[in-house]
Amino acid sequence: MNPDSYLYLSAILFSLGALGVLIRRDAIVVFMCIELMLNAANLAFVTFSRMHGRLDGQIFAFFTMVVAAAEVVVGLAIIITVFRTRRSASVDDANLLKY
Amino acid sequence: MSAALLATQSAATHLLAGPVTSTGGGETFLFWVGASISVLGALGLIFSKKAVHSALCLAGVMICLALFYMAQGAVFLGVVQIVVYTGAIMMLFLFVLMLIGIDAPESLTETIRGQRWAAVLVAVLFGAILIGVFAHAKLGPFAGMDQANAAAGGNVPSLAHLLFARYFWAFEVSSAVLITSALGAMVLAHRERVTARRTQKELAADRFKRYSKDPSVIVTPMPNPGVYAQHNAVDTPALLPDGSIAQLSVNATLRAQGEVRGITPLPVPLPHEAADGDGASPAGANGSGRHEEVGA
Amino acid sequence: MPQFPDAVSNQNMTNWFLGSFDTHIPWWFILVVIKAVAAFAILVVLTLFNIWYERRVVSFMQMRIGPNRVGPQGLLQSLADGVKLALKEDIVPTNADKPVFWIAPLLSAIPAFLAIAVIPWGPAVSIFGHWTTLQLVDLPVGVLYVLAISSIGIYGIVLAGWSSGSTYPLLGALRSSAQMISYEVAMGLSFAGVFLYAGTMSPSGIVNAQQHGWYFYMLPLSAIIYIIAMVGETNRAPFDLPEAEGELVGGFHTEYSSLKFALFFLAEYINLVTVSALAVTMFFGGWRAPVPISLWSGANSGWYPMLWFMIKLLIFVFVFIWLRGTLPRLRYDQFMAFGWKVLIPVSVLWLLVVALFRQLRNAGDLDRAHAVPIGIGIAAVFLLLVVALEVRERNQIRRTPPPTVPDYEPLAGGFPVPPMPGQSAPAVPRRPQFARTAAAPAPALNGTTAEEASTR
Repeated sequence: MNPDSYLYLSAILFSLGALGVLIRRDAIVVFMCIELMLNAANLAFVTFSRMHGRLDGQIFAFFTMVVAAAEVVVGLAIIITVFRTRRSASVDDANLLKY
Repeated sequence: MSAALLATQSAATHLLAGPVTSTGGGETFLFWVGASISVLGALGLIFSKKAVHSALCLAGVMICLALFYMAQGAVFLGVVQIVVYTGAIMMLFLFVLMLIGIDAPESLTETIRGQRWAAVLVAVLFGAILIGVFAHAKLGPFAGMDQANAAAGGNVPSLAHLLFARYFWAFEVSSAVLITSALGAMVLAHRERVTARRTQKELAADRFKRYSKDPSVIVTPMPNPGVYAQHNAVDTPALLPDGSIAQLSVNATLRAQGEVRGITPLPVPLPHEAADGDGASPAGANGSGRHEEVGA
Repeated sequence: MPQFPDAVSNQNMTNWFLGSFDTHIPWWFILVVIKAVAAFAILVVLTLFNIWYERRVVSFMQMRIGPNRVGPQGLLQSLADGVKLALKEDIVPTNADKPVFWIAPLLSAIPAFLAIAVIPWGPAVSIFGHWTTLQLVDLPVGVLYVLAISSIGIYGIVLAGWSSGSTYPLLGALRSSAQMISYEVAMGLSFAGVFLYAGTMSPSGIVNAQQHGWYFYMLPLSAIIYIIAMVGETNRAPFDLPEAEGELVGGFHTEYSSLKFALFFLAEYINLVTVSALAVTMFFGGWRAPVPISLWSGANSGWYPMLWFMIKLLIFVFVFIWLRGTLPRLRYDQFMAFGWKVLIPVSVLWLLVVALFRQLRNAGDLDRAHAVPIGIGIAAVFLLLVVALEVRERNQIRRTPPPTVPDYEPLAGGFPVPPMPGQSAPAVPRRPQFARTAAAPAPALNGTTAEEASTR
C-alpha cells in the first residue's frame, strides 16, 4: 500500500463532508459535516508532513485543531441563541436577511 | 540490557514511520480497516435520521483518524486529536444536542427542487477532481518521520522546538483566538437574571410558611415506595405503622391513573409455629391491615 | 532469594515449541499477548478484590461486619454478585434508543481496560528467557494517552444517560460528564508539572526520573491537585452526587440492569485502579521501593518492584474507600465551583512557579544549594498569603455588626419556632409546687440517694 492512499481517503472524506453540508438542513449536522471536512484536511497535512519528512504539516494540523475548537464553541453558541429565539434549528428557516 | 529494551520497544513500535514507497503489513491492515470504518462513519454522519447518531459516527471517524496519525509517526497529534476533537469538541456537540433537544427529524420535502441530486452530483464530481489531482501530482518518495522525530529526541520535543521557535507568533495568536471564543460563547449563551437567585434557606422557609397556612403542604421528603412492604417497585405503596397504605409514597401520576399495586397478605404462620415463645409475633407489618401488635 | 530458572534452557524449550508452528511467531508478539492477558486478569481480579475490600472497610468504619458469608471472610461475595448480575433479567425501556443503549456500557468498559496498557508495573524481567519490561506498551506520550482514553470513557456515561429515554438518567449523565470533563482539566494541569520535571511524557521515563526523589514532595501542589481531581474524575465520594441514590436514583445507570449494569460497575472500579496507578506512577515513584527498602540493592530489580507497586496501589484504593466512608457528599454546584474557581487557577499559578524554577535549574542559574532555600521561601510566602487571607476574612467577619434580629416570637407564622441566633427564648416559669429547693430535693432516681442528687 502506497502512503498516497491516505490522500485519497482524505479526498473522499472531504467530498463526503461537502455533500453533507449541501444536503442536510439541521444546523448542527451541517456543522458536524464541516468538522469532517476539517479533519480530512488534517489527514492530508499529516500525510504530506510524512512525505517531506518535516514536522511543519503536523504543526499546521495542530493549529487547525485549535481553530476548529474555537469555531465550534462560538458556532454552537450561535446556534443555541438562534434556537432559543426562533425555536428552529433548520438552516432553511434562518432567512430573515433574504431579499 | 537497555539495548535489549530498546530493541524490544522498537520492535513493538515498528509500525511507526513507514518506509519509502510502501508500508509494512501492519500499517496496510490498519489503513484498510480504518478507511472502511471512516467512510462508513462519514456516510452514517450524512444519512442518519437522528442527530445523536450522526455525532457518534463522527466521533468514530475521528478516532480512526487519530489512529492514522499515530501510524504515520505523529504520535502527539494523534493523542491530541482524541483529547481535543473526540473528547471535547464532539462532547460539546453531544451536550448541545441533549440539553437543547434539537432532535426533531428533518422533513424530507425539499425547499429547492432537485437540490439533493444536484448536491450528490456536485460532491461526486468534486471528489473525482480531488482524486484526479492527487493521482496526477508528482508525489515523491515518502521520507518518513524517523529523522524529523529523532532531531530533538522524540516527536514531542521536535514539535516543541518548532512550535515555540518558528511558529511562536501563531501560537500566541491562537491562544488569543481561544480566549476570544470562550468569551464570545459566554456572552452568547448568557441569560441575565432579573431577580436574585433564591437560596436553599429561602426556599425552605417559604415551604414552612406555606405549611403554616395550609397543613396539606408537604414539607418533608415523601416516603419511598415499598418500604417495609414486600416489593420495591415504584407502584407498590409503602405501609404506615398501623398497616395502612401511605398514599404519598406512590407517584401522583400513577395514583391518578389508578395503578397502585395492591398488597398481598403475608402467609399466616401455622399454630405450632406461633406458639413458639411469647414474643414471636409475625415479623414485620402484615399487609392485610390486621392491627394486632405491630412493632411489639 | 528466589532463583530464577535458567534462561538458556527456557529459551531452548520454547524455541522447540514455537518451531512446531508453520509460521514463525515473533517473540515480541507472544510477550505482548502474555502481558495483555495478564493485565486483563490482574484488573478483573483487582476489581473483585476491591469490591469486597470496599464493603469490608466501609463496614468497619461504620462499626458493622460487612459481607462475611460467601467464601472465607466473604471474599467470594463479589463473584457471587457478578454471577447474580449476569443472570438477572435484562430490561430495556420502551423509549430507549436501542443501538446507543447497547453500545454505551461497552464505551464505558472498554476504555477502562485500555488505559492500563501504559502503566509500568515493574522494570525489566525475564519471561521465558527474554527480557522485557512489565509494561504493555511504552508510548512516548503515555500519560496523555490515559487522558485520551478517559475522555472516551466519558462518552459511555453521556450516551447511557441520553439513550435511556428518561429524565433522571439524562440529568445524571450530563452532570456526571460535566464534572468529569471539568476535573480532567485540573488533572492535565497537574500532569504538566510532572512533565516539566521529568522531561518526558512516557510513564516509564517518569518512573526512571524519580530515582533520586519522588515527585510528591518535589511538586506537592501538583500531587494534591491530582489527588483531588482523580476523586472527582472517577465520580467517587465526596464528589458522587450524580450517582447518589437520594438525588438521582442511579444517575446515568438508572435504567440499566443485568450485564450492562455490571459493565458500568466494572468500569467504575477499573477507573479507580487506573487513576490510582497513575498517581503512584507520577508522584510516588511507580515501582520504586521507598527509602528504607531501597537501600537493599535487590529491591528495584526482578519481580519485587511489582510488589511495591501493588502495595502503593492498595494504599491509594484504601484512601479512596476512606474518603467514601468519612466525608459527606458535596453539592453539585459546590464542587463544580471548587473545580473551576479554585483548582484550575491554583494549578495554573503553581505551573508558572514550577516552570520558572525548572528553567532556572536547567539554565544552571540555580544550583541545588540555592534551590532548596528558595523553594522553602516560596512555600513560606504561599503559606503567609493563605494565613493573611484567612486573618483578613476573620477580621471582616468580626467587624461586621451582627444582623439585627427581631424579637423572638414563639409562634411566628402560626407554628412553634425555636429561637434564631441572636434571639433568646424567655425563661419558662416553673410551677411552684415542682420547684427544687434545698428543703425539698428532687425524688431519687435510679436508686441514687437524696444527698447524691443534691450534690450533682
